[in-house]
Amino acid sequence: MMSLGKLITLKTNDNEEFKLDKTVAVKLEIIKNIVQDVDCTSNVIPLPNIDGKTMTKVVKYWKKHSEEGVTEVQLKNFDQDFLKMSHSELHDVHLAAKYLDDNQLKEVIIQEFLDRIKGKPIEEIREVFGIVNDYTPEEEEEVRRENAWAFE
Amino acid sequence: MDKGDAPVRRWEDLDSNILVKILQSFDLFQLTYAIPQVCRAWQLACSDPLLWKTLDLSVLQSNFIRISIEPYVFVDTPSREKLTRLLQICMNLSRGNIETLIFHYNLYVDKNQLTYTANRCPRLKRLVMPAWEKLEKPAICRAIRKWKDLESLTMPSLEKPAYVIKKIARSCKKFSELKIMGTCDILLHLH
Repeated sequence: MMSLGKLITLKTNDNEEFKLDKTVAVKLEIIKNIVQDVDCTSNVIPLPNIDGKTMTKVVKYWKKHSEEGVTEVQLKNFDQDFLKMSHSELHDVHLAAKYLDDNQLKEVIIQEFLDRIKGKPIEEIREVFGIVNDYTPEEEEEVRRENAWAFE
Repeated sequence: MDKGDAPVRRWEDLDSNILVKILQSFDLFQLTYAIPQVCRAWQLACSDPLLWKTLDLSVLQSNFIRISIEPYVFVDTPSREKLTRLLQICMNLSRGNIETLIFHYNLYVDKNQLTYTANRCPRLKRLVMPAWEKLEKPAICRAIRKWKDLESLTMPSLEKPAYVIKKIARSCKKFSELKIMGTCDILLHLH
């Protein structure tokens, strides 16, 4: 085990390195597990599934949320700003949060997805989730017909 | 926003638990109508048992007028057909997994609709159905017979409710809660 107070280095799949205070990093299940296994001298944890651009965002989120004396309001404003990203970036961060087993971040992202599709037409829902419409026009018409009940 | 050459994220990258969680936040109309049209995977996900534990139809009311002669309540055809249609869709998607079923007090279920629903909700535990004006004894008895797991029933105040209670006593061994909307002093004459 590494000693307390040290920095941990996370290395993304495009070789970007992020130095994190260990107290921030060990909050996460996956990092904790790797830290216990990893060689004490190197302190570098590889993240083969995450790129630097995405990790920058994740680290920014972690740092803000582990800041001492940060208020609820400040966090809310931060989150609001943090979530201003494209659909595909949001997906990347979600996948990273999933890989890092960060439930809090996952929840935040899912809520953002929900807000983005709330009351939106089907076309826009597909766009937000990067879904390709795999129905033929005939099938789509059939599904529509089968499930119609609210319209006269 | 960079819609340009960023690779399209496939929804399948996310796990199905999250999809179901997302679908849980949709209302009944979206779940039955809009979501199945998105793509095949979402259509499939719309049948997840988790989404159908409770079917709350309290958004739906009948278009009706009260009259002083039989049948006392006249429900117009479009609103009757709409309920039939919605029940069909919900029963198809829920695949027998509904445990709680809630109707609005101004929604008049008729005997065909009740029989259809009873046959397709074999696991029903809780039923809230306050309007029985369009129902008769045989249809109600038939339905209760199907609901062996029924634990709770919310029903209207009937002139002669004894048959309902007797039927429940015979068919629903787990029954533990009866709610009657309106007066219930009639129950005292049961014995």
